[in-house]
Amino acid sequence: MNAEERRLLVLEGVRAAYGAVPVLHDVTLHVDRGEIVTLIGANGAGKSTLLMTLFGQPRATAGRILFSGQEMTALPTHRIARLGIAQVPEGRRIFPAMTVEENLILGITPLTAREQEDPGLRAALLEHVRSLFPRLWERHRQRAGTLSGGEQQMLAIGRALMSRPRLLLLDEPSLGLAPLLIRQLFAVLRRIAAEGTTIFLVEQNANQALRIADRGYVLVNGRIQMEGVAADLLADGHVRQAYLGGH
Amino acid sequence: MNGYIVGQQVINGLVLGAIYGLIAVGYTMVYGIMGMINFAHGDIYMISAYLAAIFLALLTGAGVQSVPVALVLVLALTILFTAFYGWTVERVAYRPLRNSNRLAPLISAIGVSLILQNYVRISQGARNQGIPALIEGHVRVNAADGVTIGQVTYTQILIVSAALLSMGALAWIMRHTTLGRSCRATQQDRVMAELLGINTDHIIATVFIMGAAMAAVAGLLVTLNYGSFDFFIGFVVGIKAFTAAVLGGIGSLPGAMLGGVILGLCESLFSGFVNTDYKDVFAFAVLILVLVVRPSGLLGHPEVEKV
Repeated sequence: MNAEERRLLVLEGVRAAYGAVPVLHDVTLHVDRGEIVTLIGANGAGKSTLLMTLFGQPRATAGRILFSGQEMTALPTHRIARLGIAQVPEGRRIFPAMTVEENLILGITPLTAREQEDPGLRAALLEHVRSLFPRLWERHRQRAGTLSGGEQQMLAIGRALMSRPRLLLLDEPSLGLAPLLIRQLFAVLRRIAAEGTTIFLVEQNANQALRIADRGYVLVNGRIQMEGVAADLLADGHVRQAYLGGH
Repeated sequence: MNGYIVGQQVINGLVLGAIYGLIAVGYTMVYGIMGMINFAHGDIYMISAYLAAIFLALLTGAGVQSVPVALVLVLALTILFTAFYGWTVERVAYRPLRNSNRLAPLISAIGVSLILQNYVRISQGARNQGIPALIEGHVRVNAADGVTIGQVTYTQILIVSAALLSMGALAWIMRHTTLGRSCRATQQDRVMAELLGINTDHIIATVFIMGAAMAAVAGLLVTLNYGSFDFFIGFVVGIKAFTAAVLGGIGSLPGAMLGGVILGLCESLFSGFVNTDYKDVFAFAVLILVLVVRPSGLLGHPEVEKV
C-alpha cells in the first residue's frame, strides 16, 4: 500500500466558522488506516469544531475533506455516518429519555436496511459492546439519563461502535471522569484499535492521549502548530510546558 | 344531582375529548420535534372534514351502497389526502425556514392557516356544508339498579373506538419501530440524530404526515357526528386541541390524549350543569390552574435532563 492508499481521513486547508467568527484556519492533517491519532490543544482552540466540521456542522468554508479517497466535504450530515465514520461527540449527547439498549440500537442507523433488520448481526453487535462494557450492559433496560457520567461515556462509545465504523472520532472522552475510570477508558480505546478500528482522538488530557497514540497534532487558535510522532511530542519541551503541566 | 345528566355529559365529554386528543397529537408531535406551534394544524383538520364529505359524495355517486365499505374507503382516502396537505405545508412553509430564528416559522404557520381557510372558502363556498346521517341508532347505558343514566349513539361508539385504535397504533409505532425510535431521537437531540445517520428532514416530514393523518381521523368522525361544518371550524377546535396538548404537557403523546379527555369532560360537564356560554371560560380556567401548579403540564417533562 502506498502512502495515498493508507490515508483514511485527509483534511486539506480546511477552514470553518461559527457565523462570522472564524474558528479553523487552513487545517491540514491526515489519519492513516489502523492508526490512533490524537489532536491536542487548549480549551477554545477549535478541537470540537474540527470534529463537527467533518460532519458538516458547521460546513467547511474552504478546503477539502476526504474519507478513503472519497470527497465528503459537501455531503449531508446524515450521509457521512454511512461512510463508516462514527463520532463520540463533546458532552456525549446520549438520548436521556431512552433506555441504554435503545441508545445502542440507534447506533446501527448507518448500516444498510438489510443489515439493520438482521437480528443475528444486531445481537452480535450488542454482544460486542457488552464484552467491552459489562457494567453498562447490566443497566441496558435503564433510562440513559439516570446513568453516571462514566457510564454515559461508555454508552456514547458503545453506540458509536454499533455501526462497525472504520473511523472512530472521540471528543474529550476523559472529561469529568475519575482517574481510575480514565485508565479503564484508555485501555478500552487500545482494545478497540487492536480490533482494527482507526481512532482519531481529541483530548485536553494530552499526557494520556499521547501515550496511546501513534501520532499527534497540536491545535492552537484554529491552526495546526505542531505535528509528529506521539512519543516525540510527549518528549518535546514546548508541548510539555503548554499541555502536560510543565516540567 | 340528576344521574341521567351526569352520565350523559360524561359520555359526551369523552367523545369530545377523543376528538381533541386526536388533533392535539399533531400539535404535540410537531412541537416535540421542532419546538414550534403549527398553527395551521387546526385548518388541516378542517380540510379533512371537507375531504371526507367530498369522498363520501363521490362514493355514493359511484354507487357504493354499503355504509361500512363506504366509511372504510372514505377514511383511507381522507387520511391519504390530508397527509398530503400536511406534508406540503411542511415542505413549502416550514422547511425553508428551518435555520432562521424561531419566530419566522410561527408567522409562516399563521399565514398558512389564513391561506387554507380562504382557499376552502373560495373553492367550497362560505356557507355551512353538511352530510346526511349515515349511522342511526343508539344504546342505553343503565346503572346497576337498572336506571338509565345515558345513551350512546353508534356514531359516538365509533368515534371513541376509532380514536383509541389510531392512538394505540401511533403509540405502538413510536415505541417499537425503527421509525419511532428515530422520531424520539430527533426530538431529543436533532444534531446527534443526524450524526448517527438519521435523515431528520425525512423524520420531520413523517411527523407532519402522522399528525395530519390523526387530524383526518378526527375530521371524518366529527363530520359523521355533527353532520355540518364550514371553513372556519379549524380555528376554535385547533385552539382547544392546542390547549389540550399544553394541559397534558406539550411534547408528550399520552399527555395530548389525557389533556383532550380532561378538556372534553370539563367542557361538557360545565355545559350540562352550569352554563353553555361560559364552557370555554371554564376550560381555559382549568388550563391556567394546571399550569400554575405544573408549568410543564400534567405529563410533561420540565426539560430533558442533560448531564
